[in-house]
Amino acid sequence: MKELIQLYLKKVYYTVMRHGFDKTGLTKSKIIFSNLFLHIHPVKVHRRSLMFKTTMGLGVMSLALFIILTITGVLIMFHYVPSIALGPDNLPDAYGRMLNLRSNLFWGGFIRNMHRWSAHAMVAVVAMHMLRVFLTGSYRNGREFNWVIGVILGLLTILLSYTGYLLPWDQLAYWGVKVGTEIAKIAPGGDLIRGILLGDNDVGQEALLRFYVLHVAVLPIIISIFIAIHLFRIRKDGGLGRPADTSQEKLIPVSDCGRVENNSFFKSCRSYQLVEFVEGTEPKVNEEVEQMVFAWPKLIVREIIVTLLITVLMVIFSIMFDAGLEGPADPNHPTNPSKAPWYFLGLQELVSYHGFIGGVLIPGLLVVLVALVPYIEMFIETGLKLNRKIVSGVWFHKERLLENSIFLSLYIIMIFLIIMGTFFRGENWSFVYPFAIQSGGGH
Amino acid sequence: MENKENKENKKMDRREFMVNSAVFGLLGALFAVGSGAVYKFLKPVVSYQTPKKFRLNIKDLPPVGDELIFQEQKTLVRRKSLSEVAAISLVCTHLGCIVNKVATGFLCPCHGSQYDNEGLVVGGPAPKTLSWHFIKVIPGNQIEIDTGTSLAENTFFKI
Amino acid sequence: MMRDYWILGMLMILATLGVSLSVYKEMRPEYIAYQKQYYELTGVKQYEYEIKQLNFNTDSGILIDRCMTCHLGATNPAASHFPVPLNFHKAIVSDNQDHHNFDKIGCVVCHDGNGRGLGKVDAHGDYHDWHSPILKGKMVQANCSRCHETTVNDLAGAVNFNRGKKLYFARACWACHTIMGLSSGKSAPDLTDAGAKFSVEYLKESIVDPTANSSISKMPKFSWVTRTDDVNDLTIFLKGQRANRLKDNKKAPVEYKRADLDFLNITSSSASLGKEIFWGISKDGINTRGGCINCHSIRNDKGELQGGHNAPELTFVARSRTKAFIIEHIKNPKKHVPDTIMPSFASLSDQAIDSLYKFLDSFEFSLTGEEKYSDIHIYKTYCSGCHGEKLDGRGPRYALLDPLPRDFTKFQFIKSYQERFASSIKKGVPGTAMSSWENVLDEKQIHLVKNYIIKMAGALKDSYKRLNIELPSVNAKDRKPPYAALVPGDFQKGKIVFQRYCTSCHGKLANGKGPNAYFLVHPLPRNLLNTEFMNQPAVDDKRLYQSIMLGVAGTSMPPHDFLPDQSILDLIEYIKQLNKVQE
Repeated sequence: MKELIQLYLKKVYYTVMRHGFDKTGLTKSKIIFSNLFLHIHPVKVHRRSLMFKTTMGLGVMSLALFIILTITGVLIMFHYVPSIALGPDNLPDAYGRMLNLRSNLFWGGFIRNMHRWSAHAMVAVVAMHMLRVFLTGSYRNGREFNWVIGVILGLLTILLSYTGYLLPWDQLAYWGVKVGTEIAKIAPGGDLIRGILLGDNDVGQEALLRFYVLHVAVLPIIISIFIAIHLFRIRKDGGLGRPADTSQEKLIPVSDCGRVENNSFFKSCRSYQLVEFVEGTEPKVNEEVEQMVFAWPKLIVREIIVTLLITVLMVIFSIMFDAGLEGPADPNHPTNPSKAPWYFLGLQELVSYHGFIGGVLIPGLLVVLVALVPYIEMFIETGLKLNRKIVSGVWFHKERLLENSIFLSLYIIMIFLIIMGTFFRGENWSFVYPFAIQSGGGH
Repeated sequence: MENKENKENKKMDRREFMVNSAVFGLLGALFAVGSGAVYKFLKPVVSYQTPKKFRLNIKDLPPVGDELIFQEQKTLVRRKSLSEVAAISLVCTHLGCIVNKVATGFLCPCHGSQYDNEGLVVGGPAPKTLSWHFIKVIPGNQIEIDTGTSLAENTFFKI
Repeated sequence: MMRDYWILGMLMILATLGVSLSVYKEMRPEYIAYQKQYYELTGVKQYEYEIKQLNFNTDSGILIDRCMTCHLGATNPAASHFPVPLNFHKAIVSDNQDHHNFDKIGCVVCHDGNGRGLGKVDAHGDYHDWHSPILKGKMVQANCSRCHETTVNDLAGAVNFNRGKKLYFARACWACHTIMGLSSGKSAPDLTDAGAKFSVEYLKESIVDPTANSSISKMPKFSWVTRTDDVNDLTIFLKGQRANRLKDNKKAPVEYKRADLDFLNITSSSASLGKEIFWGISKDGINTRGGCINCHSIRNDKGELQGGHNAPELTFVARSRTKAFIIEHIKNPKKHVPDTIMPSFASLSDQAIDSLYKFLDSFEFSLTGEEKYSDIHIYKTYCSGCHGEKLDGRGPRYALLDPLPRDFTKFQFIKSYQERFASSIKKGVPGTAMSSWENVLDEKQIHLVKNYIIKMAGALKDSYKRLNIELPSVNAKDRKPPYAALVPGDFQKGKIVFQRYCTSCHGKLANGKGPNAYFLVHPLPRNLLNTEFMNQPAVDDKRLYQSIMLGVAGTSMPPHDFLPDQSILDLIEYIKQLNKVQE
């Protein structure tokens, strides 16, 4: 009887999971490729990819933040209405919902804080991820296209954050979006885009509805697709960028990556047994096999650690700081100064010098240049018959001094402008010292 | 030699297992706390329609033997004696129409359900008696009628 | 590997702790303590902690009210002695027929705040940028008008509100501000929705110091704002002004009716009636539509000043201005002095204005005895109110005059233009607040005060002399190449020159309000559209030429000697054309 029950349970277990958790190489491979969520990983991964200094976990952090944002966002959607119809207490409906979320819904304030802070964090983390990829030259050697996808993901992140900015319908939201869309007006054809985005002459009910639909449906779907492509391409491009020969580098010792039993067969090959017959160099097959270790458990555990780390940071931040909620949006009482979200403040600062050049030309050119940077590099190298032996995955490669300096200074200038716009701009966008007492605004 | 390594491995495995079980336990706890909180997050706490509970001053109650209808709350308040009151729902138990008070009891205008004065079904498609509501005396000579409750007929409350 | 697991474990503990803490924080809302205390005080044994919500159905939607979650005893007379916030709220109207049933209408309708909030700070709206923080004490009267009609009749019980309404008329607020149904002033912001837009603190601040929230406000700083009760009552009245009321016209006692102008049906005029209008005294229970005294001051027969310091003193006005000028100025102040902030009082009847004139004409004060021919006394009595005791053009009444009174401490200016002084004093300066003094002062007094100003300015010393250049003559043959013969000025060319060199101070419209004008202090750039000023005989082509070429000494007007003569002639033509009186 007891054996029958055990047999039955074993059968049930087999329908769910087709593997045990022993330490054989076979099981370790099965764990990865028989699981929908894990099979995006390779079965064997280069020891270099596991190290903190290679990626700093920024890509995984971005993904983790996206997941946090999705979960909290869906929860907020249960209590939100994208309507600005005024109640008798002169509160727009959307704003009233924010008050409910904050004051009487259980956990409402916490979820809102998580959503708000994670959104800001995601923009920052994505920017840092991009910087890391550039400074290590990881977009070279066949990974050029994935860089373009990454730039698109970065833009989508900003768009998502920006569309969400309007939804609370408070003064900050309203005037932030108002200023942002005014910048769009300067661009040639910007009026048209602004019209499509706002659906009206000005930021109002139509704009709120459109931003809402973009924020909760259109953009998340698009960004999910691009994330999938991005991750898929990482594998198809041969994993993370690294030098061809890593035998001289100090890497995580194999012994620290979990014990493997019955490893004789798996020791000498990777998982691309079939692809080996395919012509071409991508994906990379049987390269540095001796440097490879099983992804399970080391890589998975490290990814969970990064995910948990950012989650814990967000939770602590959300407990300590409440997401602001200003007075309800009032189109007749501009806040002075009206500031866009922080990641646009650099842009706003530029606009304050010259509308078209600062608001359209410079950022437009920058985005195009940054998106095409691998191809520009490729173009120059091909044209000048330069044969630079640059390997990707190395921080501050000495032959990339010029590129790295330009990119790094761009970041520094942008950060400087953002700091300038955030802390040093007061009423009428005039220069003030931070923390100077500001005279009261509207109400 | 081999044996020693095996022992070492076993020891390592045990430690790994313990830490991992702790991690999974905590994950379970985290999940439980999170789900509980999300459950409370989604559970309605206040209403934007007519709230379930409403308050009445005792001096505003109908005189003995009389009744008073509260349209908005869909409730009839009946006073049997100086210290006994009851509240009867005016929502038809058939499909939720609002019944009318007539001399013989209650009459539903939608599908013709008929109730007697106690709310018992005497005709029509209604499946059960009209609900009687819970009444609580609260400080300040007031009563609080909870229209969310459904009690048996002739449930009078002392005031 | 083990290290990774340990880190994982630690982070897991942290995550669980963090999430649990966030949940724990939510488990203990503020109101639980109050509910517990209340039920203990009332001796109720069975209770549960819950949010008490009350939805007040108004004609324009539902008013959400959760105040009684903490203010549990608000409708329980036995809770009179309970501690705040559990105590009983007294009836608003003390008879038994009080229709303010708090169980039905809730708290927010009168007290504002944030009815949805459950924490104290949140619910009371005591934080930055909340548009309607809680109203306490007398301030609550402001919200009576959300349901009750207050425009035509006074509302019994709202004492301070009613007093504020009286002050709105007595303090002449009505002359500049619009409140639908009460007044229709055009020269200041509409206050019909002031209560919904602004908080009590903001309103109070703006009354006491108009420039506190809007640095370019032209609203006078009234002398009566030191009286706290007046400011409070006026604030209550303004806070009660809302465009959207909770009850619509048909059902509720709210109804808008355009109040007829009081004093409109005055049939005869008299000085005593003029005095009532001037002082803004309410008559027969009707709010008077006057109140000149809030800005203007007058001097009684003993020479004591009374009234506001925001506009010229009117003791001598009947003697220094013509009757036609005064009547025209009351009806349309901008006609003769384009930049004045005085609002139009055209809504007063002819009889009312005539009464005002008669009242102004009744003053007879002037210096007598020894002081009559003492230059310092003449200056102090007649001039210092605007030009200042120190002659710096900053007398008590200077700030809101436009153009500003002349600053006599700039000796360069005095040296340059002293020959004009006698005539300016005698005849006044058209288009400005400077009136003609020849009917008030005799020749000797004018001479004395003129010399006093020159002496005090330090202009006797011969240290400064202004060039006297002649207006270049048109078509003169003696100009040698490369200087071609001058042709008469051209309006279009003058316009181009003006737009290039003058607009930063004088403005694109030439009204003296260019972007740089906000940074200049005293005097401000001349409004070149001030027709009365620009067309006076003293402002001839030669003076304009000199002012442009050499600048105006002692002011911000710099020399423009780099401009060719032809351009200056074009400019003069442009300016003259702008001021051509349309036939």
